[in-house]
Amino acid sequence: MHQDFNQLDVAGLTCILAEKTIFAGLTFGARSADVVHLKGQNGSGKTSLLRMLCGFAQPIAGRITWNGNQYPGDSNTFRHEVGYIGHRRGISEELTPLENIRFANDLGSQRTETECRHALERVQLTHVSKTPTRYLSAGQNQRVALARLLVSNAPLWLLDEPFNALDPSGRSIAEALIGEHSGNGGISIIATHQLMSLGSIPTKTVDLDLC
Amino acid sequence: MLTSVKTALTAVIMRDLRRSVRRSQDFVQPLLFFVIVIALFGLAVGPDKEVFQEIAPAGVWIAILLATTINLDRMFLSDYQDGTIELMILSPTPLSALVGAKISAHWLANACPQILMAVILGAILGLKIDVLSALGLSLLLGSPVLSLVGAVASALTVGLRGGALLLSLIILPLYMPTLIFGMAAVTNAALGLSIEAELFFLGGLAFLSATLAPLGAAAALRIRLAAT
Repeated sequence: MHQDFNQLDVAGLTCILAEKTIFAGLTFGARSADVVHLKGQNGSGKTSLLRMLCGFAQPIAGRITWNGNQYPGDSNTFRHEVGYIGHRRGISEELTPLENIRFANDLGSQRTETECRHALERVQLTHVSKTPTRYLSAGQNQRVALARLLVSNAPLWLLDEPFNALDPSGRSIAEALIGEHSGNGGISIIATHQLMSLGSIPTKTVDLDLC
Repeated sequence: MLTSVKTALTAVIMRDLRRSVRRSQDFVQPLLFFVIVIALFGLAVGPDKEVFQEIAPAGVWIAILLATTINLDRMFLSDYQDGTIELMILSPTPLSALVGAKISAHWLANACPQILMAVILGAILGLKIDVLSALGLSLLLGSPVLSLVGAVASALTVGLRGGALLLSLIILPLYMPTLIFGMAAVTNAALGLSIEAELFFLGGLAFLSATLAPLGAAAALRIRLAAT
């Protein structure tokens, strides 16, 4: 599914918001199958970093390279290789979970209808697949967002607090998905305050409080 | 590549139309507003049929400008708030093409019913067939300009506090050329003159804005997203 080997490098990245330095000189790297845990207090720049990696915001200084190509610049294709779950989940409240998944699928990947339905099965939402998401709980909406990742072909997952609002079973589904992604050679960068239990998969930690 | 772009654009249009049907107040309210403005206009002008026939098209044009404007701030708002814009930026299909599809859906759901209503109301109010057809044609060519130019301003102000009023202040002056050519067509029709030149101008404006507005709106959305 993915290119055999991918590598993300972040060097000397600096983020300034409202004239305040959030982090400076941040350097880390991630290769295929890596899981990176972004740690840091509230306001330490976890979300800002993920948004820079998505290309929504530009860093003041430093560089981001994806497989050796600087981003943005040489490689604008990088953003197509990103699966992102942010605080805003990318789910329309008028649409059902299945319609949301189909829409995300039509925008990016070209998976089949069966694969879309399978993604919903995987996050255990088949019973509400025809209910508009505004009637679903926050945790169920988070599961829809996870199902969206499942239909994407993206090798790089950028997840901002993916375990928020999830119950223990939802949490273990999310952890299993991250584990499988790593097994398939994908990279996950996860900003979370919570401890992750990914079994035997080693986790790199990047602490933004130290930058 | 081309198939995937087509799939993405169709998906955006179908999704927005489906959402419009499910949240029908979004297009029913501006439509009612449009009808009420025309009714008020009729009341203000009074019962003199000749005077009314002369200035009714102006009322219709002003009503459609206002009805378009009050609904513009919603064009990107929910997508901005729920993160769909971010999803669209990360799509392999260029954002400007997706934004173009969104504008088309907005025009289909909002302007189309209003044009239809304008023609029906015009017929009820007893407009001559020449004037009525000129009104319909000028609205058909002019309303895409309103949606397209409006989209740029809507994208620029999306998510801003008090954005709706700011949006009206930005957009109404930009609607002047469309209003001038639209009204000129109707006035000419009432005088029995040719309306081709005005319609060509409106068509030209529509093509110009269809080429540039999606690019501008996409750039504006990126700026708004970088600022949050």
